Amino acid sequence: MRPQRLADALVRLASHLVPKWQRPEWQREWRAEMQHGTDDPIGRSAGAFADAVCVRGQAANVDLWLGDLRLACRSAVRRPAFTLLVVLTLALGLGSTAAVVALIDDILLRPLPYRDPSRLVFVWHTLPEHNVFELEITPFDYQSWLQARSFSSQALASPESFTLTGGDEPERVKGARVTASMLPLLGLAPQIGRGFAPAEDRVDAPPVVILSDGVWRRRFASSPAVLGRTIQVDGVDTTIVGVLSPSAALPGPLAGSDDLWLPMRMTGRERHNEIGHNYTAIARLANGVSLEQASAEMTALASSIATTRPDTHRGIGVRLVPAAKQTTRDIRPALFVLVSGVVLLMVVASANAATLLLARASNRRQDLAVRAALGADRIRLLSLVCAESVVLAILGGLAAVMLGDWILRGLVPLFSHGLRTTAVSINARIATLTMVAALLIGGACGVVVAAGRSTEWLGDALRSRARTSGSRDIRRARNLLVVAQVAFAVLLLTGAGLMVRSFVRLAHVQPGFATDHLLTFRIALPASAYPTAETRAAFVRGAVGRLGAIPGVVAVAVNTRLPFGHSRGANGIAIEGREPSHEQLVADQREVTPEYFKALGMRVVQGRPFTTRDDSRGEPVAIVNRAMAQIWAGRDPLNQRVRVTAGDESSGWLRIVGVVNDVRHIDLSRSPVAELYRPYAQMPLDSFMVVVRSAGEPAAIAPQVRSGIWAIDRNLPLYDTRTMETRLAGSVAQTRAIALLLLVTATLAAVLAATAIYGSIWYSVTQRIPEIAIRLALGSTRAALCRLVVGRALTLTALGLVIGLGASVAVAPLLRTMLFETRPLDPATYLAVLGVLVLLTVVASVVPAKRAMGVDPVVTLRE
Amino acid sequence: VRLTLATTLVLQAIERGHRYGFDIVDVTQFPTGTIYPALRRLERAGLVRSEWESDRTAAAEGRPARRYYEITPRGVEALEASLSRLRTLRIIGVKPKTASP
Repeated sequence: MRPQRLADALVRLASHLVPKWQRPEWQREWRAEMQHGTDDPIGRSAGAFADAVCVRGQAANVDLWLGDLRLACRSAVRRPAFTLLVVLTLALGLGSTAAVVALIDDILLRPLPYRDPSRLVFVWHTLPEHNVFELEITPFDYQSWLQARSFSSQALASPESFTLTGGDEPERVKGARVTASMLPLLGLAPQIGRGFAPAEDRVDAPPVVILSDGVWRRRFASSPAVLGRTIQVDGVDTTIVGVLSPSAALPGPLAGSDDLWLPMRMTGRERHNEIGHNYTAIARLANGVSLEQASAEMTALASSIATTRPDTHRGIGVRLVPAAKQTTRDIRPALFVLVSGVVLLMVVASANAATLLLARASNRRQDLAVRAALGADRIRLLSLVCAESVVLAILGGLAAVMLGDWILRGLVPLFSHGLRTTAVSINARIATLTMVAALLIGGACGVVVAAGRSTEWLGDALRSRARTSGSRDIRRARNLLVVAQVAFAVLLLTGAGLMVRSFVRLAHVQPGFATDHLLTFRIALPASAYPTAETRAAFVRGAVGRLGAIPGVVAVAVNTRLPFGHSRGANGIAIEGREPSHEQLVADQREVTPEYFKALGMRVVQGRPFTTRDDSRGEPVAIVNRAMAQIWAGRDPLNQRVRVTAGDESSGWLRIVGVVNDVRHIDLSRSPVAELYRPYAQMPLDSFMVVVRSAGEPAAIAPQVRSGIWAIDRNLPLYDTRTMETRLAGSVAQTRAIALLLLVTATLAAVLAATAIYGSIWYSVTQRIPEIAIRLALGSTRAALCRLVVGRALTLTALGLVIGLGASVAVAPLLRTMLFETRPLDPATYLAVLGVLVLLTVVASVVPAKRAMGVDPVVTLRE
Repeated sequence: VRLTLATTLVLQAIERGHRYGFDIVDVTQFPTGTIYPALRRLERAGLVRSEWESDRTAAAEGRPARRYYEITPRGVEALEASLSRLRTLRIIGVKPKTASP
């Protein structure tokens, strides 16, 4: 045989010493080396044996650990029920946490998508006398504030809806009028085209528009040739000068008004309007200026304006709110509840998984003791126990990532207002964190079991069923975990109970009208087609008549501000014969057609409803609600006269002809406020809601209603089309969502706690079988045994209950702002939680108690 | 890892650009049975790391791809410490054992 071939054969032979999984790479290296060319190939190849032995030695530990892992995998497969239970428990706790972490990451931790967002602030007016702390500003204020040195730039925005025409269907879109300074202030740049020029803020500049990426894609198929084209916005020919990037959006309360942006285009008179509080101001703090310094300067400026303009600015202050805080403020309370609930659930689930793993470990005591007796050191035992925990933890972690993604999809719609991006997901970072958390829980359980008193198990465990120090340690750890789980479950159940009670009370509130069988939608009449009050009133008359003729329609009416429509229309009110007092009277004003009260099922409790004769030629009249009728304090409000004093629409004297019942307009949780109804024909605004009461399913008549409107004007879009019940549901959606989320997490936590109690008591009974047998042999009754077992379970629950109820009493006040007519320390809720836990405990201890009662003393003692 | 004379020389050879097993054998004149176990120990201790040569480069030279070793920053430190220890030994020397009276 030639030396080279012999050398190759020797290397091949040596390769058998190398562990299988390392062999291909080892052979590859040696094969390449043997090509090096040498005078003594056989001598060189002899080193392969030393190398192979070295590699094998190094791999021995890895091999052992891999063996442990293989054993753990086989064990997991052999006990599918146990594996599934641990994996599901971990998935539940960690998955829900991963979903909430993803939400928080997007809502609270990710910076706003603007240049240096920490320097952006919203600038609001305040009316401390009326407890109003965030009031939009007037164009006059904006002009006055431009002198403020604390800001490097300022911008104004006014969210509006616009009608786009010229395509297949007219489309109603949400947008905003903004000053030219808005884009540079936010640090946004159009993806194509340009921003607005300062000259375009004036009314005499040619109309221009910047489109959102969505509108550009939807209506113009992303064509770059769109720049310079003309579209009709509210019937006005407008030139497209730019397209915003996909992520461009206005911050805070302006979010959602992003379909298209138009310049302010104010007349000289509008720029000096001192009473129209309709504009939202955003500013960028100048370099080196703190929020406090800017606030101080603006407060001084506001008081100077209040002195020089007492008629319009008396009592008006200024407040600066950082943009990030403004954006997340509304969502914070709900997020806080969600985070607290989920963290508690994670703790309960982790404790539960730990309880299960500890139980499994205690079953392996004998196996471990034998291994220890045969010479396995503590590291080997640790590796053995940890391998099983780690395998289950890995499976649990993977399941958690999948479940988390699923939970997140359910949560996103509930928090859509605060989200920075539309595609929130469990990203690689959060998935890694979830896996690490799962491994930590698994590893920690393994360490507790193996590192505890492994050497003491040796003698103890070999004495079969004797109760031992090792088992005592595990039992104590398990009991501690059970008490903790009960305590956390109580905390969650109390929170959920309070929210559910609050929601039930809210759901039983009568809104003041019949919400069923009502279809509602908004129409905005473009000024170009309906320039006068007469044309608008004529349209509404025609529309009401045409829709009323549709088969199945019971009544049709119009209201400029519908209940649960997110618009109040609050105006100052003056009463004839009464001196203007320091305290301004305020009423919510709405304009309605004669059929409105009938269509909504409201009651005219005094006087008469509006008639068709209450039009522009008739006497100006009004109807008030009961809350407003209180102003006359016992005197008859009929034929009294009132006048609207503030806002854009000041009126002459209006004679009150009727009183209607109160309606909860804003949402169910807010008490009715003073309301003033006026005939639409006497105040025909261009934007209004149409209400159609149907005999059958209201959504079913939507197509006929749409055709009816388009038969009058094909260019009018119907938007915000919803049934009244959907609007009502929307107004309680957040309370319902929080109650539901807490209820789900609390139920899961309670079930987990109950299984933990069951597991703990079952384990305890199994351990005490010899003792039970002795008790029975000495004359103890089976009923006494049952009391012993159930009593033990109740002791654990009682401990958890005391801790949990104490914690609930401490933290329940934090829920106060989210509760409706429910006290944070509502005794009924606390009693219900107590009852549920005691019931669960008794149920959980029934099976172990039966086992204890079924012990045969003769058989057991013989064993 | 305890750096013996042989291991130090292997580390020094790698540091000086001898990057694969037989090349190190050639330059150090140690047998393969010493070099390879030393390489394994050094890699496990993180003093050297290895990577496979690209197949394309190896194919261009008409041979299989080699496993190349490279010294890590920790390896450089360990080498310097070991060389300094060896130099001290050389300066001080070891006294010859004297016969007992």
